[in-house]
Amino acid sequence: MNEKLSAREAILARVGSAVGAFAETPLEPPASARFAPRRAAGPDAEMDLLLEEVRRLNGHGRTVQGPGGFGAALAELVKAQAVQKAAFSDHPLYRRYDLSGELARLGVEIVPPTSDRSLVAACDLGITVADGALPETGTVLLRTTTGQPDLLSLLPRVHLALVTPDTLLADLHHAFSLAKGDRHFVFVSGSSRTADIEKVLTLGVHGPKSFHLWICL
Amino acid sequence: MKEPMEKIDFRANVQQASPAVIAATRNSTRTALRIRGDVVHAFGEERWQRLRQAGHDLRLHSLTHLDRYLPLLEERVTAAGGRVHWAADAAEANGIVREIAARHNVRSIVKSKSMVSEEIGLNHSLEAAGLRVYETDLGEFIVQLAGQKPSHITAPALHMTKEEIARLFREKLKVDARPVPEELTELARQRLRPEFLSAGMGISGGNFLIAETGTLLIVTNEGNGRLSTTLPPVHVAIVGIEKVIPDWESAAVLLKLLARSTSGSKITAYNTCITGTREAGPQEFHLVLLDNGRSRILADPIARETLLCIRCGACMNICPVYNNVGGHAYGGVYQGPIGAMLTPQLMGTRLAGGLPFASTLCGACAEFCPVMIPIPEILLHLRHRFVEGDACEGPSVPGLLKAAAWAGRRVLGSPSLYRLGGRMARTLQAPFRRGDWLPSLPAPLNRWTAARPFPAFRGDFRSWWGKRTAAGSAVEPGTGRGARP
Repeated sequence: MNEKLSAREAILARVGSAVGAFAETPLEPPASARFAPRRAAGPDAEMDLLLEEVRRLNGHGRTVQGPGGFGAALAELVKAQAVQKAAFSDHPLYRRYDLSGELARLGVEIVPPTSDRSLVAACDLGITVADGALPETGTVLLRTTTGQPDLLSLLPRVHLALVTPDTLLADLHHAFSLAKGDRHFVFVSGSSRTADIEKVLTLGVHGPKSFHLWICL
Repeated sequence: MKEPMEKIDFRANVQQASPAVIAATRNSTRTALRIRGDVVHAFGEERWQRLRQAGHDLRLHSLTHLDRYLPLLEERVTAAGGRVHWAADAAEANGIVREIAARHNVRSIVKSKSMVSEEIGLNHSLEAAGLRVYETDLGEFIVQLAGQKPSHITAPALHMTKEEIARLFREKLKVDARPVPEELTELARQRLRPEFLSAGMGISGGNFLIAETGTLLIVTNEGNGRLSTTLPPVHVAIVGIEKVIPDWESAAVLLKLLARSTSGSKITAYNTCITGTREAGPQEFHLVLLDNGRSRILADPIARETLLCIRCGACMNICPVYNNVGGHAYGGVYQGPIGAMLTPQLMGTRLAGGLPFASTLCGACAEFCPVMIPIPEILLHLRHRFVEGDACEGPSVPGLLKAAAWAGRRVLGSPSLYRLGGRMARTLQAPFRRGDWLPSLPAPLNRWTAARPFPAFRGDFRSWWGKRTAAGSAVEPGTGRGARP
């Protein structure tokens, strides 16, 4: 323990003497180090932008209108992606859309998010409700909670993120001010990707291979 | 830098670079530059320059106030249930990680990409302790499998073709692999999934440390960074002390710069923000703060700006030297212009002092650098340090060159010795002279004549000038300026 203490003291002493000349300057970053955040356009334009950016990231973006629209979109997704097992947590939005009922009708097995992670990993579909969305970059903000663990948007091969229009945020700056008190949160933009082999964009490395974002109206 | 403790010989390394590697490198950097250009253009050139300036001022502020941000960060991480360790050098950092692994009876480790872990030779240290270490970034996985070193900081396997990678997978993974990037990526996914699920420890680096809340910010595209920091019961992050930034406003600026410069995208696929421990996450979070020479770099007001670097790799993509020699020529963990600056400062001038000379000083890197590091200026400064020494390090030039420089200074500094030298050159050249040329000279001057002949010394300027004036070509007295008759 003493040794570690001494490493700390030694490093801080060296750093302190290296930057000693700045000891009196304020800790506030200078004004030139700030950059004005983006300003949002109107709600419709922002929604269009969000969907466009999701498509640009090779994701699938759409709007769904009410429980009927949601059910139809879900049936389409389950068929297209051959979904047999799905994992999601509890959320008022799911109850409104009767998510469990819809999936049961489609013959999809529901895996609770708290089950063993190898079971979650074996799921085809992970569903999340976004805490925020950034239209500029096609991004969703997911605050990790026990109810909605990080694994839901990470282990299954298809990720469906549901967004409500009231959660659209203009810029990263706003998203950070919202979530910075949390212990863990993730910004997700599209599916897992790499260009490590000859700079060829390849989707689905370690995380989801397919990303879907639905704006729930 | 523990692993490559032998002297880096850039010239010799260059001669080993195969044309295929250079072709693959250029092919990849060209694509990277094109997509970066598009995304910067879309952002707006003038706006981009303002963002770069903000990034620069922000990073410089962070560095010059590191003595206050580091303790603040430590306090916040600790308050959130994390444990902070301080490592003065590579050996200490490796020791800390080994100790944590031993305490938890860890057998296998999944690692997301971390330059710092390469710098300290962490894998080697862990493997020597009997642990299995899996690099999970696709590029790093390929390079680890091939027993090679990364050739680019953000695209480690940039020097390899898909055919080579397929051959490697067939040989090492015993699978049927075709040279198709999608299929090769799928094979790596299948190979690594079980390791993620069973590993006892996850190791990551960190892109930024946010002092305000004690948060580690990790930027990845593949999702391996998220898996390595979520699934295993213990997460160890090793981060250089220079990565601390004041607050979230700063993070927003830097993430915009980083994503565009690295991958030509507006945002990286995953930005993961981790503050201490959390329910249903790893039970323990350890943050190892590594110095390993950084505080010494910080003490030099010119070289200090090396530490502004956010490891985007744009400087190497644009560098004409990097594109002609490939990443391995730089011998160290960091390649291209950032390697030419950082490696000699981390390893010492004695071992890597030749690297700052591996540049044409064309300045393209400085124009591309998202945080406006004055790269050519720092390279010149380090060349000066290599030859003359400075407050940080003594000179490291070979004795012979030093003696020659001393002799040159004496001879050129004295008019009589200078004149004597001029006369001697004419006498000494006789055995080598062929007409008006010296076609070959003995070592070390043969490095010149190997490429082109040297013109023979035919007289000295003073006597030629004397004869010329005596013969009547008028010179205005006092002005030294020749006048036409």
